[in-house]
Amino acid sequence: MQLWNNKFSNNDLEALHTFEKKVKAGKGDSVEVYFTDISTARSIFKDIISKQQAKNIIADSSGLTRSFLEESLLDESLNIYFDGDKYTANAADIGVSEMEFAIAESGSLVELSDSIWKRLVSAMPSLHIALVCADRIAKDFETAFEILKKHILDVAQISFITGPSITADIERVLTIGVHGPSKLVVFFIKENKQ
Amino acid sequence: MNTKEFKEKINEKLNDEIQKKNLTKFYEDYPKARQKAFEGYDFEQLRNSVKNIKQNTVDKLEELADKFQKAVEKNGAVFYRAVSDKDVVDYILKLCKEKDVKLVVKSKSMLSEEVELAQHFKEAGIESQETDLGEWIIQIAKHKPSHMVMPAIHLNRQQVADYFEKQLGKNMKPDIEFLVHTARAELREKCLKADLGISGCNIAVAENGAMFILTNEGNGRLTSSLPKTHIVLVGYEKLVESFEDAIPILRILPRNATAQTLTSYVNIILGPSQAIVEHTDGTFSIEKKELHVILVDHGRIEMARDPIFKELYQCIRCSACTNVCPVYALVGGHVFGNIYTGGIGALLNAFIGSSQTANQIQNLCITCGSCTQVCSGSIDIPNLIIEMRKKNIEKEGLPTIPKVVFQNIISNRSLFHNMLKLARLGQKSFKNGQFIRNLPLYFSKYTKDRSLPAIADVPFRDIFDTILQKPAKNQEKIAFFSGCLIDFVYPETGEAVVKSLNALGFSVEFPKDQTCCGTPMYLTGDKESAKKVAMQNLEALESIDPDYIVIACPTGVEMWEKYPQFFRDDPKYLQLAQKYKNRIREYSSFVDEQLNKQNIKLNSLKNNGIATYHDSCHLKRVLGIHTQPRDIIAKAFNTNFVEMEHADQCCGMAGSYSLKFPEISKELGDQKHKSIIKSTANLVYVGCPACMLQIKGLIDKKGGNVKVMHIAQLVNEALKENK
Ligand code: SF4
Ligand code: SF4
Repeated sequence: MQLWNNKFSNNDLEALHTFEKKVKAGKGDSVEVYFTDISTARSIFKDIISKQQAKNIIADSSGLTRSFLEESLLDESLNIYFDGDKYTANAADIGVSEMEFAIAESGSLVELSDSIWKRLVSAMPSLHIALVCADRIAKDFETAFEILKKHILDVAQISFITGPSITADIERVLTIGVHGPSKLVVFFIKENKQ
Repeated sequence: MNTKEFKEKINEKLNDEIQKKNLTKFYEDYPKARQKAFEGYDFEQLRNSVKNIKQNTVDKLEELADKFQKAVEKNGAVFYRAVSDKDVVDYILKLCKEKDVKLVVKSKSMLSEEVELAQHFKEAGIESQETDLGEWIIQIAKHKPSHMVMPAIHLNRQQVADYFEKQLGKNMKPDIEFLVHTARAELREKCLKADLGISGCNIAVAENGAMFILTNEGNGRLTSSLPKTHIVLVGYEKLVESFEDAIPILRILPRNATAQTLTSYVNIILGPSQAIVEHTDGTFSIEKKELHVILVDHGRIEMARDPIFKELYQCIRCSACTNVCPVYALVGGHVFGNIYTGGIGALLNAFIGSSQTANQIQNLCITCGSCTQVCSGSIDIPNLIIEMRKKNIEKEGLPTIPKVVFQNIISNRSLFHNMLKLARLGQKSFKNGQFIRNLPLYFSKYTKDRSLPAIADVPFRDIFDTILQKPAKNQEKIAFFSGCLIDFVYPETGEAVVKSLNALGFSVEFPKDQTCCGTPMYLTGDKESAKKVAMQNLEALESIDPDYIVIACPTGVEMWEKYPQFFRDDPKYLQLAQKYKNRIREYSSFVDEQLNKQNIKLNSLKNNGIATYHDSCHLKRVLGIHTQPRDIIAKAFNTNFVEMEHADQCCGMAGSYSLKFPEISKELGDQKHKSIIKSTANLVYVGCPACMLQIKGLIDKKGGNVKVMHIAQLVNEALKENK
């Protein structure tokens, strides 16, 4: 199922910039945003893997995610799981999943969270890689709600993800990664489907 | 808690250096961060939407509750309405028994605190684990939350490390990142093992059953995802009619709460999704989740039916009110609040929390109005607190001393004025005696930290006739309403008011039958006595029928504006009250307007030194007057006008408040004194005689080569040579 409505597809660069500004605001370098084609995205991902010395990757099984992971699947030093139990999710270093669309106004990613596995992919590892088609950006909440409303009775859970997991509960000092990811990397993938 | 214990607690908190440091820092940082977060948004428009949305909720409460129930059930969840706290607890414990629940994980829910769920789990032998970091810290510290959004704001890293050490039996270092990561590991384990997740909910949509859960940590996602069963606790006030109604709330809540654009996670739950169930043989299966939604009353329906306090439905628990509250910054949420903190906490507790402590907490509010300016739902918190005091007095009666004073003395004008005159004669011998202490202006402990003003030798009412007025250029007739302080303590201010208005071309009258405006009685909730003096004042003014009533005291202005409320059932006085309400003018704004309109220049007072201005809470926040007095000072002092730091922070004078909680009043006074000294000014101007009393006393006791004057004195001086 797809939440995004193609009639809203756009090439709104300004919206993408607003998104980047908003999602990064006040969160230091715990958020990275890239607008790029899929092969560049793959090579950035490769760097991330080697920097993190990641072994275990969990991912949702959407077309975009699978295509993004194509090369990584060939890498024998990596374990990639497209499903599993809670403990598999808990042991993962990186989660990779496709987001339905982005909201510029608040710098949020909209996740269709019906699948429990998909939810764990973005909630449990300390690094979350979010993939979004570059033309799927809603300008503001009004647009986002209009899109969501269409399918609201067919879904059980939706999440807005706006940065990594943060807390300021001790002395109001911003600290990253208390329950979920300590880093969020967003790839807006430009149309380039082979 | 009796009054003595309560006072002890206040003192303990005033001396809690750690809490004080944390809260002061927050109090200083928050306003700037908040302002930045709202850039590009029209705050007034946003909060107006929130207000309308919630008023709609109150108006259609039952209808929306029914709709919500239908939608939730249609979405496949189990729905239950709980009337009492016991209902909530019983339902959850029964479910735990059925499911053989051993471990519960909770993400933040004020409602679960309200019904003391953790305590009940403990008694039932079920382990319950808070997953919000702040909530977990106070859980192991066995404290109550001291702030609605940041429950552990009263603790520092060392204390947290100590609690962790005790709880986990491991060595901890007081390093925040380390502590957070320790918590991550510990809480992750619990989330993985838990059989049941419980969370609150920020917005509940009637039309489709959507429940919004906002968290920054992501614990809301884990508690709703990992365990097989999930319970959502929803208070009636969380209901909104349509899905889009969530938009303004999403925009305002994170900005007002923590100066964020949006929390890191917003979960929208629309029904039971999936759960992963591990089996003993090492396999797992994906099963349908079990979702329970409990809609909780526990005093909320009564609140919705109350014609006045239904306004509390407009609260979205953002805690902005608490963040800007000067009293909260001093004593924190363990004294000023109980689960629900700050002024709004005092009000909410009267309906949905612990009503016993609610009364004491309300008394802590100095009605400075800071909270109302930032409230997401435009709630007039100080006004509701006064309403609540009124309600309590209707129920329980006034405490004896104010009762004697208000009902027998102040509301009898000649007796009151004679007593004040007598008080002057006897002030030496009476100063520490019962008599003076019981008058509203004279407070027993008040003398400890600031000097007490003397009652003037000759009250203004006896000076007025000796003032020579020039013939008026303007046709419009002004009556001056002085209020007690100017009349009996600062007659020179009264003189300056009359002379300066006359210099602006008006003839000024002073109807002698005027008396106390009624504020002291009104604030303690004694509406009857307030009404009595209001009638006397209206009659006194009617004998002159002036075009304007000029008042040089903001509380006096406010009180006059409220007079019509007293006479809803009395057409004669209602008509009078309304007529004069429209003719009230606050002194400094009236003068500023006249100076500009008549194009009158003030003489330079630069030779008098450096001047600064203190904003009275009521003048600035209730009446919205703060540019006009500055404009006047700048006209006379030009570059010699400097701003003090935190010019609009309460000076600590709040009527009879200073009597009830002199300790808090003292702290606020100390801070004000510091700002004044730091400003290097030798003249402090104020637009409010009560602030003048407080600040004069502060300077007198704590030192400083500073003169404190009413702005009328400036105007009078600067117009003198213009004659
Ligand atoms: S009116 Fe002032 S003291 Fe009272 S709750 Fe509001 S901010 Fe606090
Ligand atoms: S009273 Fe207003 S400011 Fe305070 S928590 Fe409620 S909505 Fe927020």
